[in-house]
Amino acid sequence: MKVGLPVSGLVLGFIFGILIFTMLNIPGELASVYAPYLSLATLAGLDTIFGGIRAGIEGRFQDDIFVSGFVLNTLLAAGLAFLGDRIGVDLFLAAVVALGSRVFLNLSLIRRYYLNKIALSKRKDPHVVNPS
Amino acid sequence: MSVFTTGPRHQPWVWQVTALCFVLGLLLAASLQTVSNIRRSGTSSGRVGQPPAGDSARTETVRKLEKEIASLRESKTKLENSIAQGSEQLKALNDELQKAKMLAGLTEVYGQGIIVTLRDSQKRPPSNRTFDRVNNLIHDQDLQVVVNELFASGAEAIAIKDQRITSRTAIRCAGPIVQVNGVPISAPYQVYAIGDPNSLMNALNMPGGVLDSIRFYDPEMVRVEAKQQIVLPAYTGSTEMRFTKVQKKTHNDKESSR
Repeated sequence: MKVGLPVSGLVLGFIFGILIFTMLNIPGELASVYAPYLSLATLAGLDTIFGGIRAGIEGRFQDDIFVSGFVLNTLLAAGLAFLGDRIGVDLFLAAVVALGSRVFLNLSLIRRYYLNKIALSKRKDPHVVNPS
Repeated sequence: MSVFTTGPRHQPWVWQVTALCFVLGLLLAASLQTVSNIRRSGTSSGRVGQPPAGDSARTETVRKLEKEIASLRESKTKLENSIAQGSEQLKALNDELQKAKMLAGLTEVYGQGIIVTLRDSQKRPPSNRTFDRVNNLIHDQDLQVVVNELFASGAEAIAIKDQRITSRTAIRCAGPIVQVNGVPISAPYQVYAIGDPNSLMNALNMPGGVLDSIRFYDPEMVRVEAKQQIVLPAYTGSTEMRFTKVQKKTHNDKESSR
């Protein structure tokens, strides 16, 4: 997998974001209102990216699932946070737990894949193909 | 296993992940910037940091003029007293005048009472969080609640450092210092109160009282002592009334004119 491309995209986006938000200079009182929504959106984005990488490695990457997953996850998380604000229950924790555990799960699968690949490339025996 | 047979090299999904990584980067930057904005605005309120090098020459002039006001008011009182020597009526009027002036805080007064010393904590804050950086200082609010509690428990006259508390006194935060009567004063703050020392002490030291929350952070920040004699300075600020007029109508007229 080309690691350079996504990482450079991340760095570029980060620089753009810093530039934009430094120019906007939103006061802290206002920022504290939407801060939880923003962090939830960030978490949803993280989840989608790890999910996408995993799906790509497994060879069943579908762009419509990828994009719609990002949009819907973000909307649902924000909606939960909003509803939780209204009824006084920290519902956004549900989104944080669900998305967070998925990030860890996907990361562990990606890690397994690359560890297996390294182990395979080190092994010289041609008849051992099945890594699991 | 079939899952691992297709290599991920040269796949279109890498580009899509890259695009979403860009979006994620934007979101991350937004989150970071937002949180740091909140932190910054959280510390901007309250008395944080060191006092700046003040305009000492002007402060000196203000002090000198205030002393002049005080001495002029004192000699005015003496003149009033000497005028009152003449007749019984004048004496009665003058007594009333002096009482009003004492109530207004325009005269130097003395009596038994207590001294509350509030100082910034010498302790190093245990962390760099806003909570600790704000709580190791004495703020305008602390002085306000102490003065309020003293008046509520029967103090007759109060001064913070050399500033007398009058009906026109404001205690407010002005960056690194506190303003009382518009005059900047800095820590440590001595609050002088004339009144029954026992009841004043008890009111302040009451469990859950106004000093408890300060003592909770650092007991060294508060010291309360009773004194047999405390001298409070006179109020040296303006006594001009530009907008307030005395109601001259009788009570009945006032009711009907409303």
